[in-house]
Amino acid sequence: MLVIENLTKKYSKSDVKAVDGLSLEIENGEIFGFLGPNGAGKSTTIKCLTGILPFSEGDIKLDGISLLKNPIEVKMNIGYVPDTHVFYERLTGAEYINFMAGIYKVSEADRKNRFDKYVSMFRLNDAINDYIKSYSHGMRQKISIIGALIHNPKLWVLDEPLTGLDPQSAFDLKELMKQHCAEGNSVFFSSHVLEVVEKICDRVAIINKGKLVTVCNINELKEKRKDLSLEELFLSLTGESQ
Amino acid sequence: MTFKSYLSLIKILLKNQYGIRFGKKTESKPLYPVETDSKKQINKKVLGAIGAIVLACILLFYIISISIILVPTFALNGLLSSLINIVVSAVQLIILFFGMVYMLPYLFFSKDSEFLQSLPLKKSVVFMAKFTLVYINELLISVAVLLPFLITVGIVSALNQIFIPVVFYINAIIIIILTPVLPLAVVSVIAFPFIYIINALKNKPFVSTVISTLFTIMFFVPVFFLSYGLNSAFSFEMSGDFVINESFKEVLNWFHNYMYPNNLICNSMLLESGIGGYFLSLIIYLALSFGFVFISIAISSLLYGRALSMNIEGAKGKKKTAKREKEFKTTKNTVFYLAKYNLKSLFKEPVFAMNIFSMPIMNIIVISFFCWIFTQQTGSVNQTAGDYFDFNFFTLGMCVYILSLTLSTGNYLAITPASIEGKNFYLIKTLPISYGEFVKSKLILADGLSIITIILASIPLWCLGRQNILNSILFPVVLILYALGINRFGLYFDFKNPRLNWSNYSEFKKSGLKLWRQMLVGIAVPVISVICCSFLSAVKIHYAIKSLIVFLPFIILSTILFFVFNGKVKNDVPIFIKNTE
Repeated sequence: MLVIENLTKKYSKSDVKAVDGLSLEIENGEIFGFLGPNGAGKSTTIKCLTGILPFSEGDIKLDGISLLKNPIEVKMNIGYVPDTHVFYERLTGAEYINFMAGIYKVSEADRKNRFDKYVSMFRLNDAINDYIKSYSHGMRQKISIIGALIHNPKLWVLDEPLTGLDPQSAFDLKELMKQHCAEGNSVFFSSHVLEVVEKICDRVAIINKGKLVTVCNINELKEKRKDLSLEELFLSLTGESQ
Repeated sequence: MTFKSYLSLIKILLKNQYGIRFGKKTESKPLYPVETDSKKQINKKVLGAIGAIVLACILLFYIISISIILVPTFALNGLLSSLINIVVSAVQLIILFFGMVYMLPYLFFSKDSEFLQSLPLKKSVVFMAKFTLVYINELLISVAVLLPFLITVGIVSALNQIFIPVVFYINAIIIIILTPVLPLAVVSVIAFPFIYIINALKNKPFVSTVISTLFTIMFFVPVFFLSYGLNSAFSFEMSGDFVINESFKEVLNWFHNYMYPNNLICNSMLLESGIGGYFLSLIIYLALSFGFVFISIAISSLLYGRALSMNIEGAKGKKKTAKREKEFKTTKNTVFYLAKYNLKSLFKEPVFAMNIFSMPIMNIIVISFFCWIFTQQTGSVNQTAGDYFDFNFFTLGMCVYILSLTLSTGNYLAITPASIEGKNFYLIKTLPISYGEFVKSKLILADGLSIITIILASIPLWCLGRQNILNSILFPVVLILYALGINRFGLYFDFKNPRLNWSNYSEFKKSGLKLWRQMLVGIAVPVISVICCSFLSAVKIHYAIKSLIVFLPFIILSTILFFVFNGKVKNDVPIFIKNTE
């Protein structure tokens, strides 16, 4: 279970809070969507969650372990797929995945099984031993995803994961998210593709100008407000306040 | 576990930087057969390896030949330890320069900072792995220069019956390993203000270009004056031996006494203070070196966290409102409009801007330097009766050589006008402009930079070069004609085969192998010219004939290139652009 308590982040050169008092809880087995307009604070929240950015107030806990007090332990249970990929381009895909597996201390047996499974799933068999430098954007995305899943993390964090993926791979990724949650893990992802969020997420949070606007259950939204799509809700909540 | 992570990270960083693989390939057994490298890729790798070997041989040859000449002379004068000290100090200066250029960005502003920060690794582990890699890179410089030098010192001394104790070789290993630590400590201390300056200049590309150019010039100017100083420190005797001037001996001794702690290890190498002195010097040197290591790591690690935040938080923060465009008028001249915006965008890319900015400035400095050095030699005591050497003409030849070499191989706007666009090239194809206008805009920039460079470089020649009227006129005129021809030649071939798929400057530079035509022509003519000039400087014939012989190859080549390629540029290049996929 992920608990974000009163997360506040202010960049050093700015007077404005990029994230202001954000509090969320993500249950085990849940796919949680994180939505907001550009510059709302989504990426900042994700970077605080993954330990990239320090934050001034609040705390983040994964299964009761505080990110502030035990960052390494928390990071061991998070798999992160960023929106921009920075790779060591002289590595092959296989070397990168093995590096990630080594850092996350994945056993050799698990490493081999998961490596084979994900490489086949994403149809990277022919390219896996090529240098990452030669990969297309979609292939780099796939390698990043495999690297984030090789240690079977309790929390899988993805920032705009569908960008650059072909339809088959996008479908496979969505199925993977569902499968990951079915095993008792959680997925936290941000996306601008509201149709996808509506289809696969259990709950969504909408953030605007650093503040949490609403958290809603997708199924409840569909049952209680059949006249309102997620897109309409999103636009009404973020558009009026702009 | 921490040490294992540290080793894992070092291996990955080394693999990424040098492609070094450790141990057996156990990362994966491919599920399907892996295709072997294509013939083209293998040829590329072989060519690259041959190129590296040739470069290494040239460097080795240079180091060894200089050592063979200097070692007996310095040893005879009791200055062998000073010689070693100078070389070690010179290597430290090189490491200091490259430390500033490489270490600061790699350690504090690397693009992989976010990625590494998201992994379950302690900051200290990441920092130490990166710092280790910085040290390894600097150690390579130390090994490349000091290893052949010190081995040569040992062999040449033995051949000249100069006593070299066994401890010389032990100390040699210690020197090679510990030479980088002092400059790294200095870089760590200097890094304090620098990371704030670099961060402040992130969104000010023009200012950072100016500062980078000045920094590069600051490095080269003392190197030139040092070369001149060294040149006047020696003289050739009739017997063919080198003699060190007395004043230079004094300078050497002063330098050796003050260049601490290098002087300790250099003196102890030759047992100049006896066995007891040897151990004392060695202990002090080792203690100081480990002190420098401690300082480097302590200061850098303190800075690392701060720099990490600056790097990751990056441009977030106070938003500056961009200056409003002053002009909203429609443009009448598309060619100049394109050229103007092309130049603006290049200036926003510091590395390219530095090339444009530094080309005229470096030429002014280098030509001034050569004019000053060679014209000092007129009537020199080196000339014995009956010997004739026209230093003024030789000066002209050197200046023609330097400038023509720069014009043909150093003007990015001329040799890579298409490739420099990168992926923006495809955007140009979507715009409602004729390809001919686009090419003209590139020519304006290339020719403009060449002409400005030539005129500015002519000024020191006119003022310091002691040239007659004919040479003073021919120098800029002929070189401008040469530039016009060579620019069209370079532009034609780059548009014919542009290299557009690069995402950073180092990838852009690597694609330079395909510039072999431009390089061949661009180097061949200047080299022929300078060889002619060297011979003609020793020949007593009318200066007009000499000038004609030196400038004629340029006149012929530029005429051919201009008339052949000007037409090709106008007719063929638009077609190349159209067909570029």
